Amino acid sequence: MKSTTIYNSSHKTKEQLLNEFVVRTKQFELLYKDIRTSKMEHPEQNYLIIGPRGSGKTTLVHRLKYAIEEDRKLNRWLLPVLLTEEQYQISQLLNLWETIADSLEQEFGFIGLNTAFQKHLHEKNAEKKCYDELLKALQKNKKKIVLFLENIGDFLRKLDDIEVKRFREVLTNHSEIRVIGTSSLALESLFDYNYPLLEFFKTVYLEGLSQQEVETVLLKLSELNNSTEKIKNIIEKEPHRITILRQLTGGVPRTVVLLFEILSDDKTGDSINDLKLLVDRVTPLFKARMEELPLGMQKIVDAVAKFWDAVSVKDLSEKLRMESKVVSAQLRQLEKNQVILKKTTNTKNHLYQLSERFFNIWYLMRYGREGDKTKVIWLVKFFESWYSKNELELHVKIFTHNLEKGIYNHDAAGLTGSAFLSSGIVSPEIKFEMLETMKKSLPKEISKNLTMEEKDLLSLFEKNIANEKWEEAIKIYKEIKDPRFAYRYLGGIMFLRIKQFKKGLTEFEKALNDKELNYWRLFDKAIIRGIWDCLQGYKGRNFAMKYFTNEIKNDRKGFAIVLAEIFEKGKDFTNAEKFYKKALIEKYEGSSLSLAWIYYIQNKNKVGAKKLMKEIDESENLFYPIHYLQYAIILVWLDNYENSLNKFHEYLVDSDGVDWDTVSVLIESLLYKKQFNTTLNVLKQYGLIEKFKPLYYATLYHLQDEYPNEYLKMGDELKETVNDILKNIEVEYERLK
Amino acid sequence: MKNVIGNPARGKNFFPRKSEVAKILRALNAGSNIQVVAPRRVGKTSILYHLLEVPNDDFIFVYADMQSVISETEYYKVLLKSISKAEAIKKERTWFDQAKWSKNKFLKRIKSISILNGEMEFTEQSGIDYCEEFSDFIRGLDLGNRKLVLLVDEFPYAILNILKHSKETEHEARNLLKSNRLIRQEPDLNDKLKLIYTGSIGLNSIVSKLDATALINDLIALPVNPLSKKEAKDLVKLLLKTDCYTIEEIPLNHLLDKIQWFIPFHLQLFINEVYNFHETPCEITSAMIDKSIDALLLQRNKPYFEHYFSRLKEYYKGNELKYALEILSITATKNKIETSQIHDLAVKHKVQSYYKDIIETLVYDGYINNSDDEDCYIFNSFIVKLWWKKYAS
Repeated sequence: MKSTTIYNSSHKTKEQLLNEFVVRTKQFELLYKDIRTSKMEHPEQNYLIIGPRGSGKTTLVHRLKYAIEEDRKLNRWLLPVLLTEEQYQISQLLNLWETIADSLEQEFGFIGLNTAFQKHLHEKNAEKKCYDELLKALQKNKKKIVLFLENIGDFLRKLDDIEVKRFREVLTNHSEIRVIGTSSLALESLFDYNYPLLEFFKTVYLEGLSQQEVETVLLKLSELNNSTEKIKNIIEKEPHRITILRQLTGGVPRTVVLLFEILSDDKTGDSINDLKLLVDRVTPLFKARMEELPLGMQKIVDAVAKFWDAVSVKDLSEKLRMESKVVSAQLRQLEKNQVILKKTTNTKNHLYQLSERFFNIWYLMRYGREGDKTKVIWLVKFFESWYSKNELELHVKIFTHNLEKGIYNHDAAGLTGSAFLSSGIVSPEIKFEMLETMKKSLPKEISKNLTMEEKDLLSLFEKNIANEKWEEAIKIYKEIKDPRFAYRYLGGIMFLRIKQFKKGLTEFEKALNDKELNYWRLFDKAIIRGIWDCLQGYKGRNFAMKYFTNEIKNDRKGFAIVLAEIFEKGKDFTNAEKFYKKALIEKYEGSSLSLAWIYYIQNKNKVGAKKLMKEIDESENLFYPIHYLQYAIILVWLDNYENSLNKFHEYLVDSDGVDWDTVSVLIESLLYKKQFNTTLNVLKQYGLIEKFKPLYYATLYHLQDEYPNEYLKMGDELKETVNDILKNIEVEYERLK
Repeated sequence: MKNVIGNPARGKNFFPRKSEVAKILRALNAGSNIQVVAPRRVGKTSILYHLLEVPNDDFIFVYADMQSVISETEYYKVLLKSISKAEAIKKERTWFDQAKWSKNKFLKRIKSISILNGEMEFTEQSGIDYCEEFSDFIRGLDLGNRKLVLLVDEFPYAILNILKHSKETEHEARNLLKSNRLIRQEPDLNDKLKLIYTGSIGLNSIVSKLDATALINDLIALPVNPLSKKEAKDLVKLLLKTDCYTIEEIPLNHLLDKIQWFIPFHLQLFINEVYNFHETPCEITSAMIDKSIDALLLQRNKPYFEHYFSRLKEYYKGNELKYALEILSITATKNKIETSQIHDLAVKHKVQSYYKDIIETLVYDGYINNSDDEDCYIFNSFIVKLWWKKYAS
């Protein structure tokens, strides 16, 4: 099947159409039987074939036309005249007769009919006179007409009330013409007329295809594509796929074929391009229909379309910020106009969707913003329900490959690629590889709006950072449009690690300036530390120092404490003390504790330390769990054992993970204060004996009177370590006095 | 018999309405001019066509459709043309021969009327009184012992169209009624010509609005009733049989219990839905009937019932329309409406002085009836009631 003709039956050759006509056979039989058995002695039954776009109306009328042409009994007297959708120049009843006359002259040799019309065109009652000419010509030639009138609604809406009555009169009283009209269900507001004309038509409804019919269509398609085996396989082994296809397309044949082609075998993007062409083709019609709706209803249609899946009144009113009763009223009206379809649920909360799925696709393609997920949401849903995760990922890889090889059509790639990028089941790695290829292979105007979703990029970025794959990480980082500060921070770290200090500095600075940081102060020290590292890497320690001093002078918060920590780490406690004091002035969280800690390390200014500890106790919250331990250690130094042990208890209870090294420091500091019984209690109470065996035996050494046998249990391998501890205890005890 | 929807059923597709046809022939034999009165879609036009198609020793029937006529002149032109084209007359002798033979006055003024292939064509010329031409033409016709019966379909539409399109509106509409009455009462025409008027909208209510009831009070009003239960059963069986469907007595009764009001159109629509759902050959069950009746209320069938709503909008505007709509909505949702409430609502909508006309129209047009209980109106048709509830309330 040439894809250009899938969507436009009137472009198919007769042979093609006859060969491909495999569904709607019941409706064909019904209509053809009536045509065959009617002599048209009296006005005959007129028909209206109703079905959504793509449901096979045009194909069905063409099939009927060909059947009449080939039927020797019929073709002697019955002429099929088919007026296609494109014939919108028909705006009056008179035009209809003129168009029929044209067709009779050109196709059936009614020479002179147009000339006969010409006489009357400027007369009063031209319509009736021309119709009489037409009638005479038909009677003279002993012919009758089956008039296939596509989109009859569009024609009827152009007639004024007298013309409608006149048309009805013609159909009621004259047996020369019978009409088989077509109309798509949605958006054809056929019911605006106040005249009982449509009731003269018997309706033939083209419902969604059944499972079996979908299979028939696909098998026929496979015959034409030489892929019968493949389709048979799907039908036999994976019938659920056919069910999915049917559900997603509402069983509308054209959408079934279109989607199937896109889903199954679109190596080149041709099917996507066909879809785009089709969307362009229906645009004037759909657009006019949209514009006919009042503004309020347009908004509702817009929201429902963008949801794609059926949506509740509640979700709609939230989205539109409108009262639900207003939304409900509009939905009711849209339901009456057949724009919206109500899906009844077991609860009171029914769901609503656009009744014509293809209209929904059109709407999204037309009004969805480039690069916005909603534009391709329908295609994403199709892909995700059709494929398993692995299959879809393979499909994406093939797409990437074909794009690279230049096989895949560029125009189509934008849409397909966007859908893959928006899919929640394709892994970020595969998406990223595809995106890279797209950027390389596609013209800028197509690729410029392509982007991965931020959450995908971020997770991929984090993964690469964690695995220290810096080059990959940089590529991804470039794709993140406006990273929030945490990712800016990671960006900074990344540049720092590959020694691109200047870039790192920029990222850190941006991270620090991110306003959200105000809500998350814990992070800024790490960022400022990053700034330091970058500055130092970029222009040396002195430069960094100058930069920081300057920032501190300018009261830039956080710089003092970071600098203090750098000095502390370098054991330059004097400078550390100096800058902690500055940090204290700017009331930087944790600066009191850090300053007290510096006093503790240097064993100086216990008075100052006590004051600081009192302040902490009264006001400052301890931010990190580790601060609890530091706090407890300082209290031991200040001989405030009871509070210290309380804090330690709090720490053990509250903390998720225990920092055993620092706990060890705390226990050691108890020993340095010769708090042997207290230490033993702590070790026993919290079950720490096994963990801190050397400290335990060092403690027992001093308690040999109370526990003579316990100390003897110490293994020889611990002796040396325990001896070191015992020596330390003496030294420290003296130092800390 | 084919299941014809919308178009009048003709020839073999016409389901014999013996009593209705006999009623009309009886009235014609008694010398009456007739107004066939019935709600839409009961089958009036089909009956008229039946008269047209079945040869009769006493009458020659000619059908004329007036629904797109917009002036009195055009009305008579259409009558003249219809007669000239009528097969029944041609069969006897061409009208032209007859007219010539009788030294018809009409022929003397034939300048504005040309004859092509034995049919009349009118050239545009002012100052001609086509009513007079028509009368003269009839006078000159010789149909032996038989009388010409003109079946004037959609006559009320012609009046409505004139009201909408003519400059002198009511005056010209009244003129049309007057000239028709004149023709009916002219003794020398009376022997030769009878008129049967009908239409898908009520003539009485339109004429009463024009304050011209006197101009039609000589017409005998003949109602066309819905099918009897037996007729309905026969029709359903016949239609189903044509397409190889069968139905047993129990499901058939179930169907008719549901439909309640047996107008052919609703039965035909039901059968069309059966075709939509079920392949032949097939035996119809009660469950299928329920499904098909539900389907009648789907959007796709809306056009078949839409006229019940839109027609009211054409008849009435403002308060009158609001009144009519509320009456029907209440009747649909509460299953009935009491006469006391009908009056009370008339006061609410300020239509006290003519609410009875409105109710009469609703009854005439087949919406509601009070045949079982004088004080209480109900919907005629179960399906229309459901439709109204779903789409119009």
